[in-house]
Formats: sequence, structure tokens, C-alpha cells
Amino acid sequence: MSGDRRYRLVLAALLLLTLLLFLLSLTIGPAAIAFGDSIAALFSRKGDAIALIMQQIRLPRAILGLTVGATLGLSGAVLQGYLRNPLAEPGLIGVSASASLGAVLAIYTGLSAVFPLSLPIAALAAAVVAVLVVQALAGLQGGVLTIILAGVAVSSFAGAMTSLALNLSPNPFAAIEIMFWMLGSLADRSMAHVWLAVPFMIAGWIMLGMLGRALDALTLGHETASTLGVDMRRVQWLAVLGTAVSVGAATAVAGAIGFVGLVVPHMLRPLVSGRPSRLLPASALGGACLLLAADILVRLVAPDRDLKLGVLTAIVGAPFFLWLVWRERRRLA
Amino acid sequence: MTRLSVEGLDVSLAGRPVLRKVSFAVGPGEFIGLIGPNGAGKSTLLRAIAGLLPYEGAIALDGEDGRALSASARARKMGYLAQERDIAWPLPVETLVALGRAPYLSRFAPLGPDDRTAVETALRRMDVVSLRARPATELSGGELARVLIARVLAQETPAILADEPIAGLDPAHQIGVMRLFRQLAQEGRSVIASMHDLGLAARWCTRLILLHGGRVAIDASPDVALSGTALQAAFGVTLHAAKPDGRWLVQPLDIIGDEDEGPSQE
Repeated sequence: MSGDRRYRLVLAALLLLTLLLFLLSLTIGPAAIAFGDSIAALFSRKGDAIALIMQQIRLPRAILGLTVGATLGLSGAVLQGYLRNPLAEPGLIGVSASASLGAVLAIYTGLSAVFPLSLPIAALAAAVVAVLVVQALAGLQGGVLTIILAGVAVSSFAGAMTSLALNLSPNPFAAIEIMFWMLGSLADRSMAHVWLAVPFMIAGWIMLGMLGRALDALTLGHETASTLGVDMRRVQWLAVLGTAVSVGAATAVAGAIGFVGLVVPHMLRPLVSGRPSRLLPASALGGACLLLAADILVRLVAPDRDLKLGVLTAIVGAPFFLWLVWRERRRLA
Repeated sequence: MTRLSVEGLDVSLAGRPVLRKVSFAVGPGEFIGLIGPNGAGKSTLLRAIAGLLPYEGAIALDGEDGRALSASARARKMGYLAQERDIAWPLPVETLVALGRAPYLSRFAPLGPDDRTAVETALRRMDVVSLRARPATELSGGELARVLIARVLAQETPAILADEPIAGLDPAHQIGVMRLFRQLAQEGRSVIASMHDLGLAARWCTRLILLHGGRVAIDASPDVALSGTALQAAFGVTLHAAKPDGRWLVQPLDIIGDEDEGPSQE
């Protein structure tokens, strides 16, 4: 099949682009450090200022850009395949909203001021609780529609509780801190964030990565897939739990970053002939590229204004999505 | 030898009984035409046999209890063609047909030589070789129907269940599919296909099962099924049935009890 060669080419190109953007991300920041020096400083044991900047500020930021982006791309592709719907995205099953709520509660109660890592831990815990609620509602026999509806309900509730926290915030500074956190950013993250979130994201990737063949079969519908030997209950658990763990961890350290999980699978689907199993690795790499590029852009466009990453992805993502809809409107009709 | 046996099958959908005490057995070499008026329970019966619905009673495949079979073991014994023909993504026809090989592949393994042969054979038998590179979402209804049958053929199962396989096909392809199913039966497989075209069912099937009100009303060869009046009563129409060339020709004529005399010939 000629599609095989093109697929390998697409993956190789995306991998190369990811590596380039990762390196570029390491070389950008307020401190002017030459490229050679910055890479050398990554491995330096001297503990001077350059080594500190590279190892404690830029490296965690680049690693999180890579892993959070890959998480959003991969989970978006899995959910679109599982729900057989090109409009699905990781936020749909309530993970992002409830992770945000967990984080907001940590800020609101002042816990995060005393113990900074309580914020991502609370976010992750809230994401897992949300998914258990969704699963309990959808049940073992529950279908796709139940999952979507339960996800919408959980998202709305988490959104309302977040608004309540803003509403009742003890002082304007807490409110602003909550607002800024919710916009999504990778600025000022430490290696502690990396160690906390990356293991969960990788665990989620493993669960989601096992779904390729089942998602291919799901192209024909849930019933036909089941007669092809796909265990639908297992698929549901892996898809929902894998998304919760990986997107929960990503949201916990980066805040809510929209559009990546929705747009990336759309962009790449034509390049893999629509095949869901091939879209998974492509989308993971594509998500990493897009988020690394966006995080580079926020630092280049407004170095002093701390432009939030989630704001940029939405500003660029929404019109781009409109353009995609416009281009495909005939096929969608 | 029995390939599929259905014993005292009761199925309810949303609390409403749809099938009641349905029993029959199918052996190798049989091509069963599953007929009955709308809402008689044809699709429900096929879905229950395919393991998609909870049921009471017993279904056995090659002597093994249907409930004890794993999804993948069942997928190697029985292929199922759904009535729904909604394809989610624009997969090329060849890739879509190759999905039929899923029960034989381990998680990350690519297609092997046997799988490729099965896909090629299926494409050829369904006359869709020329469509192999086209995205499945861009095919006409009839082309897609043939591609989906090819997908079931690629699964190479001893038993095949098909829910309205010839709906939406032109006459040549309808006859082509019926002839192919008959051939598959002659090769020793068991085929059960639901359909509304009584003429094609009587002409090509080795046996007809008529469902009416969730029960088996007739389970007999076409010759026996067409000799009584049960068929006319179930559908509520008068039938003209004859064997001009040694094979059945069946044409529904009028609704029973209808005053209208049918189309005027002037």
C-alpha cells in the first residue's frame, strides 16, 4: 500500500519538527544566552546563572510544552475516534473543567500559597473524581451519548463551582490569580511540576496508545466493531481513564488550554487517510509541535506582558477552526 | 451437523417483548432468507445472534454457548453486516475492507500475506477492485453496500449474518449478491440474510424463515413456504407465485381486503 510510505514520511517530518521546536523553545527567554552556551549549560554541573536558567526554568517549560501538547493531541484523536465525532475534544468528558476547579479551590483556600504543589495535586485529584462520576453515570452498559451528556453535566457543575469561587473570592488578588491560572500558561513551571505531571501523562499515553486497532474498527460503528472482536467495555475504560489521567495532569500544570485537542486531529486526518490508529501518533506529535510553537510565540510576541498560552491558542485556534469548517462544509452537510 | 442453534429465544427491547420463543437451527451449506413484515423482529434476531443484545434462551455456535464465547472468538466464527451504513472517517476502500481481518491480528501487527489474500479475494468477489483507493465516504449508496459486504467476506467466517444486504442495490448487483451468498453456502458456509424482496429470497435461498409478531411463522424450503397461505397472511398481501423456468418467481399483487383494484391498464 502506497499509504504506508506517506505515513512514515509524515511521522518522520513531525518528529523532526518537534525536536527543532523543542530546541528552539530552550533558547528563548529574557536572558540573552547564545545557542551553544545554552545547550552546554543544560548538562553543566557548575550551578552558575546560565546553568540555573537552563535547567530550572527553560528545560521544564520545554518539557511541559512537549508533553502537554502531545497529551492534548493524542487524547483529542482518541476521543474523536471513540465518539466517532470530529467535534470531540478532551474537555468534552469533563476532565478539563474539573481539573480547573481543583486548582481554583487550591488557590481559593490559600493552600497553594503555603504549599505550591498542592495546586496540581488538587487539579489531578478533581479530574480523576470527575471521570469516576462520568463512568458511574454512564455505567458498564452505558453508551457514547451517556458519556457525552454526563461529561457536559460534570463540566457545567465544575464551571459553576469555579464561578462561585471567583464570586466569593476573599480579595481581588485571589480573583486575579484564579483568572490568570485559568487562562493556561507554561511560564514559571519548575522541574517539580515536570516530575509530578509527566509520569501521569505517560501512563495515560500508554492506555490511549493501546486503542489504535479498536478505533479503526469503530469507523464502522459500535455494533460492527463489537462483532469484529472489540471489547467495547474495555475500550470505554481505556479511553475515558487514559484521557482523565493524561489531560488531568496536563491541565494541573498548564491550566486549561483549548483548541489543540480539537484542531490537531482535524489538520492531520487527511495526511493519514482518515485512519484512526495512524492518527494517534501523528496527532501526539502534532499537538507537541503546536503547543511548543505557541509557547515560543507568546515569548516572542510580548516578552514583557506575560501573554497567556491558552489565550493565544484560542485566538489562533478558533479562526483556524472556522476556516476548516468552511473548507469542509460541503462534506459535513 | 449444526452450526448455529437458537433455542427458545426471548428478546425484549426497552421492556417490550420483540422476539418470543424463537427456535431454529442452521447447518453448513444453508442460505437462509429471513423474511417478515416491518417490525417483525428480523434485525433484533440477527443482532441477538451476533451477541449485541441480552437475551433469554440459548444460542450456540458450533456447539459452544454464545454467552461463553469471547468477543474475538465469536468474531472468528461469525461475520455480521449491520443495516446501518454510516462510515465515520474517509478510509480508503481497501483499508476499510481490511478491517475484516481485525479478529486475526494481534494488537500492533500489520497485515500478513494471508490477510492480504483474503482482502483481495473479497474485493474481487464484490466487484469493487476498481474502487480500492477511493475514500469510502465518497461512494454511492450501492457501491458502499458492496464494499461493506466485502468487509464481511474478508473476515472469512463459517457463519455470516447480513441485515438487508441487498437494500439499495441495482438489480444486477442484487442478483450478484444473492448468487454469491448461494455460492458461499455451497462452499460449506452458513448464511442468514434478512430481506424484503420475496422474489429474490424464494429464488436464491435454500430455506426461508418467516418472522411474524416476534415468532417463527414459517421455517421451510421456498417450495413449502410458498404453497400455503401463511406468507400472504403475514404480509397482508396477495402473492402471485409461479415456477416458469423451474425457479420461483414471486410478485406481490394487492393488499388483502383493499377495495382498490390496483393500477388501471388503460
